[in-house]
Amino acid sequence: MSNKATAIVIDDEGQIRKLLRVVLEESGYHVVEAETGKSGLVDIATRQPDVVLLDLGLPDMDGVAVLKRLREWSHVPVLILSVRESAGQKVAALDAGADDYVTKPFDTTELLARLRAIQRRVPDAAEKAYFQTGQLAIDFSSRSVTVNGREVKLTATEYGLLRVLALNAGKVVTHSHLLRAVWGPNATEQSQYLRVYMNHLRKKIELPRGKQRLLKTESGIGYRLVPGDEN
Amino acid sequence: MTEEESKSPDALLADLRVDEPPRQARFKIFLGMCPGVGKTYAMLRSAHQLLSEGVKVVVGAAETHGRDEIVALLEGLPSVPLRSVEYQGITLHEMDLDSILAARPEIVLVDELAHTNAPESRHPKRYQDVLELLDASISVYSTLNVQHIESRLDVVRQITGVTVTEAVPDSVLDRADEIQLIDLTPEELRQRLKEGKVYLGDRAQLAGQRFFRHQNLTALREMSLRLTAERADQEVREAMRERHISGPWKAGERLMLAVSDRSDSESLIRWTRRIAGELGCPWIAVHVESDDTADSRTMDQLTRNLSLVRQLGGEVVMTSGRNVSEVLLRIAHEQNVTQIVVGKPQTASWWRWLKGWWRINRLIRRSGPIDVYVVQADRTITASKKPVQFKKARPPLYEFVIAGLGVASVTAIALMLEPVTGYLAVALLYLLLVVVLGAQLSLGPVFSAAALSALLWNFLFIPPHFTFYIGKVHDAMMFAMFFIVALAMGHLTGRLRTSELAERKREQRTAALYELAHQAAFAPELDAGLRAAVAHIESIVEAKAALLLRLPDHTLAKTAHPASSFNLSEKEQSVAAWAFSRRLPAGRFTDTLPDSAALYLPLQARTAVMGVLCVMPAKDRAFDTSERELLEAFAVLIGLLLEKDHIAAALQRAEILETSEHLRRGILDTVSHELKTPLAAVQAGLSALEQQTKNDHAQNETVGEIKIAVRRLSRVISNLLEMTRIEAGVVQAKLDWSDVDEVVEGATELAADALSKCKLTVHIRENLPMVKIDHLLIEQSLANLLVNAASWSGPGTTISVSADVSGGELQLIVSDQGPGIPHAEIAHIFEKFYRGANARPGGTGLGLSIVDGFVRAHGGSVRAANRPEGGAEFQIRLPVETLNEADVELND
Repeated sequence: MSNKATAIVIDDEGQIRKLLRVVLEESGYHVVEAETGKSGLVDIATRQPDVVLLDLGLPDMDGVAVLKRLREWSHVPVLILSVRESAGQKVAALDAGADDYVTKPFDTTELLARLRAIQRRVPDAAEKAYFQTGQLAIDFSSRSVTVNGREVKLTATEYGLLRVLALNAGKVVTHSHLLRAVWGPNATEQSQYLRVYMNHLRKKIELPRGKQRLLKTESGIGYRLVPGDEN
Repeated sequence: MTEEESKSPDALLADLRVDEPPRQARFKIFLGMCPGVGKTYAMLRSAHQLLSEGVKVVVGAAETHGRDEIVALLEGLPSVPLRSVEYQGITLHEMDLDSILAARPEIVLVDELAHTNAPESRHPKRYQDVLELLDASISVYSTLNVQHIESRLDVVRQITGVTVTEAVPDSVLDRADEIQLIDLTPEELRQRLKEGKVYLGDRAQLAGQRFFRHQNLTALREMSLRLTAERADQEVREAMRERHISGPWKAGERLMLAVSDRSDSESLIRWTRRIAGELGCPWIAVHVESDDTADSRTMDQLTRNLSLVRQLGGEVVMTSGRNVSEVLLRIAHEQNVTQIVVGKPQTASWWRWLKGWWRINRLIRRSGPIDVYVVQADRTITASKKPVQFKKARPPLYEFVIAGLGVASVTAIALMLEPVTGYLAVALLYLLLVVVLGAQLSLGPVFSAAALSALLWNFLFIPPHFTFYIGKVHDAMMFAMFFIVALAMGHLTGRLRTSELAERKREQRTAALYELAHQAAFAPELDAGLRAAVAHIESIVEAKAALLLRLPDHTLAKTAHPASSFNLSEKEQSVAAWAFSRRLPAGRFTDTLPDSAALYLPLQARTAVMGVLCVMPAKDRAFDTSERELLEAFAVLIGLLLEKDHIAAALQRAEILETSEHLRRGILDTVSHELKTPLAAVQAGLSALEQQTKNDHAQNETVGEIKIAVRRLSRVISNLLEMTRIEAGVVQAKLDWSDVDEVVEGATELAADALSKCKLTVHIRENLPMVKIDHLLIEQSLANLLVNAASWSGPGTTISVSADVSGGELQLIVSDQGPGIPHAEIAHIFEKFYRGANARPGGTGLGLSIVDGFVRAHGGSVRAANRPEGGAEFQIRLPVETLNEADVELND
């Protein structure tokens, strides 16, 4: 029991909670249910879960507000589970600190895969100076990038983009997050730069098209670095 | 010498004609020295020529005067029938301006440019009709005699002794693109007269004797020849100037005329215009406001003088200063004037005469390199031409009575005091009286009182008593000084009073404007504000007022706003409509339809004309200049008020629209939540069940079937929701830069399940630019097309996608090798719930209509066709902004 991962499900629909409990327990999670945003926050504080499944349409407070409160003191991985499917709503939740977003109705297999992905967090660059997935290796201390053992020359901007994506490997990083992180807080509207640099970056570190992409486009939302073992 | 320089004037003129833009309205005048030279004939002949060349020519107005040759020429020409006007029992025929404007010919022939229209026509003068035609881009051919030209009136009168009343301003002549002189020698003309080929009407005898005298004709002929020569000269010079050829003219010549507020300035203005025309140089007219009192009579004359300057094409400069000659010289230097024109001082009053010569003398002494013309003004002509004689307002009789009574009572008091104070102190009492009267009465009574006081003082008090004889020298001096002081006092206080009156009038005006602004702008409702404004106008100008407002369709309302105090007849409405559409004042006291009962002022706001203010004064009441200006200011104020209200209403409507859209979005979200949540529960439950039954084959199969059904249900629900969103208008394209190949890649991923049985080929041109699109909408649209193609294609067949960007348009094409679309169905396949006759079960008939909706939301189009080699082809076309990667400025 002690090495079971704890998942907190915050959803106002009793049926969904109950079924999620069945599915998650089947996959080896210890499940805690919360009906409102407030009780969910209390549960997260007291139970120290490994992952949180959060609905956006809660009766007492909006899911995005729950996220913002949560992010003030916790880094626990959060998966949004909602019927809202517009890109704007997804971006808002991701920018507020969610790690991933799955729309209802959902495919259980996919849900479990995403849960595993966000739990497998990459430690901060300060803790770990080295990142590797598939053929790609990044040495943060010497700022060197190698693909299949061959060193690749990246510009400062390209390296900056790759670094942010690698530190959030497996997670969707929104356009505005990338622009802010690489170009600074005033550049959030200039998405054409992002496209151009991403294309350059892809040409340098990805295998020719046709293979599964390392840097995946999330339509209308952002990019995701897909770790090698998921390919 | 260059080729340009060696060109003859004729060649340069020919260049000029060719260079002109072809589509602009042309104005051609056939000019003659007098009636009978054949202007109308020449005009009609050239019209026939144009007609044979296929130009759309119509006759707007032509006078036959029963001449056979004219009647014969008119026969072959299309014409717009004249309009009949009933006026005081007589039927008059006038050119039908509106019908011509409606018919929109290329060229219209308008005979007799100087003609005065029948009363109650739109414009008093025919040349104003012509200007309106030219403004409407309709070319005009017209005829004119030289004696009708404004700047030639004086000369014509001097030569022929005939005062011409119908005049065409020189500025109208300047509008002409071409002036063609129709010339005839005086002998030939007199011959034609004898043969009866010239219409003279019942005044034939008189005209024949006075006007057609040989020397008159010669002079008129010379005038018309000179006028045409001046024009040709000017055109040649302009042509030379444009081609940068140095010419023989005196460079930078510039005339300046000093204009006064007297009527004799009119002939000076014409003289200056004539000289400026001959020199081919610009001219300005300066009026210096000095201390001399300006009453309403002289103000009116000044306004007339200055408008004559503008009519004749001069520039007006208004300024003020005490030393008139100094000011004139300063302006002359500022404006690079080379010649100054001033009028000879009038002998009407010796004081003015002296002052005038003093000024001219000083002007000449200090003028340096500037030439000064001193010109004799001709007063007689202008006096007879003035439409209204303004009399100097007479001080009412009662003011003299008051002055007399004042003098009498002071005399009575003085008689009582004199034994005590002596006769010198009494004089001060009289002076006091003059000062008091000066502050209250007009100049005449004050001067009378001053004179009477002086005489009475002399007669009654200065020894010897009861004679006008003065014995001692110092008494005589006292008397003289008293007289001068009394007159000066009276004059000064009188002047003080005049300026105070003017000041008070200005103040009243400002107060009236403020009052209107306050009442109207701060009224809680627009209607109340307008009511207040109308009532205010009525009380200030003592007239009835009405408002016609702009309707939502941007036309003028037919009925007056309820705040109005009178309603407009149909005829008056048309005047208001004219003022509205032309954005110009119309009706009484204006040049347009001056016979109307009311004055119509457009309510001009910042962006548009918001309506028309109609002001109807009593029959015999006229507005003076300041009242007109006040009314125009009112009109602007009301226009701004209406505009403000209009903008506020538009904002409110936008807000309501936004609220209702917000509501619709909310409802859609709720419905979506209520449909999808149970579905999610079912799906999750099935997954759980699948896990629990994975060892029981039969049960597992059942669960699998349910799972497929649920997936189908889920697809239908999301399609239905999507369709509802499109129909509710809440689908809006959010444009952002995207890569075309990413869109295609995303779409193929979305449609991956459906495409699993088929082969997919993708053709995307290398190095396509980035496009600004809503990535998700287009990706979904393309995915729907792919799913549709897959559902019609057999296993193993090829589905191909191609994308291209060209000419600001993104094209996405999906083609398959399926059976194609039956011809009858092509027109319907994008309709909601439409399903092909051979459609496989499982579809909702919504996929393609969603594509259509998304693409439309994006401003693009989608169409379906059958390929000649078999199979169907769907094409999405979107207008897009593009950006080449190379054009993005990279900073590292």
